[in-house]
Amino acid sequence: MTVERMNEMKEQTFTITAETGVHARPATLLVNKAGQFESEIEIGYNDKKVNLKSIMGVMSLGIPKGAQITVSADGSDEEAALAGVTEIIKEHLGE
Amino acid sequence: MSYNELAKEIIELVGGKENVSSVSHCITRLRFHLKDEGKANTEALNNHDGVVTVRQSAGQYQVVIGNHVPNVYQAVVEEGGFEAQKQQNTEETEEKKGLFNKFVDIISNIFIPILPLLMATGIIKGFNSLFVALGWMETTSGTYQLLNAIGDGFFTFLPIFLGYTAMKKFGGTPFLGMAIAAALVHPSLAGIAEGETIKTLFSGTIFESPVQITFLGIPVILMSYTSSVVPIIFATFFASKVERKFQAIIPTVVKSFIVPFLTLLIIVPITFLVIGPIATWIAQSIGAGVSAIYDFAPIVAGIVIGGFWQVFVIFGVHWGLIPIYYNNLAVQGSDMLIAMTFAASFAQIGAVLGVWLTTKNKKLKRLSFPAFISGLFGVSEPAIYGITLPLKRPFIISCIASAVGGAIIAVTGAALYSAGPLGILKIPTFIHPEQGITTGFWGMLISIVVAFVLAFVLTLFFGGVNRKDKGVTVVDEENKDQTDENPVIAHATETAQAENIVSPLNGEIIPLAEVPDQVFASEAMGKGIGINPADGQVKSPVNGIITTIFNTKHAIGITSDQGAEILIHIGIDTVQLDGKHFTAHINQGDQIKVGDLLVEFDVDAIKKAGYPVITPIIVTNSNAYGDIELTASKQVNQGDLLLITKK
Repeated sequence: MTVERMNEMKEQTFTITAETGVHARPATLLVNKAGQFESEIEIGYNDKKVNLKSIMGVMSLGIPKGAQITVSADGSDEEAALAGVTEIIKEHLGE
Repeated sequence: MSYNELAKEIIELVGGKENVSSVSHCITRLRFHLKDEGKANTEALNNHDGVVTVRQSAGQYQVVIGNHVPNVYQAVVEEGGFEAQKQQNTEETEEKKGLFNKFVDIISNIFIPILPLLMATGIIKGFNSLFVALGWMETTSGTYQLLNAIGDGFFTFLPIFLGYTAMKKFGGTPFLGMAIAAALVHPSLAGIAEGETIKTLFSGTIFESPVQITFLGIPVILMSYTSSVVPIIFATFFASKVERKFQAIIPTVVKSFIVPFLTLLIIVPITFLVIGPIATWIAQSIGAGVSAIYDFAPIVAGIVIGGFWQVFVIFGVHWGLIPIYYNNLAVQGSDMLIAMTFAASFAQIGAVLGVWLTTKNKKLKRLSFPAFISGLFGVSEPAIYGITLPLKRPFIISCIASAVGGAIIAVTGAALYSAGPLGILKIPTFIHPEQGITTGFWGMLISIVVAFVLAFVLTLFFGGVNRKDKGVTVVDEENKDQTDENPVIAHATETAQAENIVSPLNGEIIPLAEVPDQVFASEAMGKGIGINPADGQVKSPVNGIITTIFNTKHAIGITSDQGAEILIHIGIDTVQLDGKHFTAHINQGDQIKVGDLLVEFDVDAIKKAGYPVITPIIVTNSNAYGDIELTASKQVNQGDLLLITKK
């Protein structure tokens, strides 16, 4: 079941300012936050997109300082999901 | 307590079925979405004998049941009438898909895991007959016999492999599917089918069926199940249902052997009693039908038999025509019936070539070459099951092209004058033994060229090779690979299996809770264990793929072949070292085996820089497992058992 719902998806772009990029610890924070929501949440960097609910997935992106990342959420609680993830990013990783 | 009683109580304790918006399950848990979690009696559930514990997270109310959760889920769905809900949501797509597409999807899906083998053995078969045709080998030679066994063994016992993949697809126990298939292809039964007839049923009709044996007095109409595809799909489909029923009613203590015991005893005889006759009668009807059409109008017969030949082959009913073929050869010295199917494999490879040249999908491209080569020698299974059928349209196109080819053969009167090899090697059998090259021979050449070119061109223009919505598993997986999600990660959680993870380091065991970093100690990343390394060498703990190696080289992510996601995080806060004192021996995406050297690090230098070298080893997808057992040793060496993931 793949239903195109591009128009409804919420997306936001961030710049990573944290010195060490998105390594194990911040990845865990992000993933744990994302896991609290119903929506499908994805993180994209360098033309690659992964599920933000998988630690391995997020770490596989190897996001360094200065990276432009996009976070998208799609689902019933997409706005809350994006807000929650934004909060973690602002607090620990960038803007 | 039965599953139904347990299900009833669980539903009641989560606040009644009115409180449930939806329910799903993973490996050990029922995952409810409740309208109001406050209405659930968490304490009573926690104390319930049938429930391990309750977790509330991610907006889900998770009731941890254990390994038998699928049975409980089934019962919960029945008790609560939840499935009706679920079906409503999916009804639209199911309807759209239609029976044909569903069937094709099932066949394509169960072939995916064995495609590489199909290609390999197909090529071996093809070259083997090429070598004979070139006169390099005699069919009586040991070399031929052995190569033939290698190439043909897999094809002959194909149902056993499909028994595994089909049973898995239907949610049953894969080995049970294999056991059913093994019974179907057992050599002694194949021998009996060719042996003495004890009676003949329906004699004088087209359903005339020789019977060689009876089962508890019921006559068994045997067919050849070797190399067949469809019978085992039906058998495993029903076996999975029967198995599930038994799972639910048989007490847990004796379940492990009673369930397969009864399932086998029911499904195998029923398959023999039901599938055998049906397939036999369909095959005979096809044989009689096609002969009748041929007498009436050869060109129509050519179109029908050419067009449907590959479909007959998939259903295993093509052999209804084989006796007619042998009879024709024996009586008339020539056969025009099977001759009309000759274009079919050329149409297949024409379509494969079309896919090969147009697909943007690397995996399909890789599969196309061996499929083409073996198809050239008449072994068309790799082309059908690996390429054209999953894509659907190229398969239909190749049937159309083959129908045109069949018509040409029928019109020009091409005939086979001896039984022989397949594919291009069969061409000489169209030469008339006395008259040599006849009009029919040219007709046959035109037919295969037309079928090939037509299938190729139509596939180029109408094959829909790069369509987005084709719902092809082969293609979908690969597309993910290329673009967004890494399939290894995406599917790991669903496919996670029990496995042993060995120690990547030499050193002293530190319980995770004592690792001096809250993120690890709290199990926020998942369950695992810490090691205080004695030396600076990290070797792979599993066979798998390097999912991530940080540019700072201090953390290695591995996805094992069995689906475990393992993070080896060398030292604490060592991200700050920015790669200093670390040497990586692998790159992201590398395939690794247990014991491969991954990273070296300088223990003393890292300590001197002020960072602990304690290395947490975490299974980051711990949620996919029922339990993860930790080693009891205080000291481990590389290769010692460290963690066991359990379903």
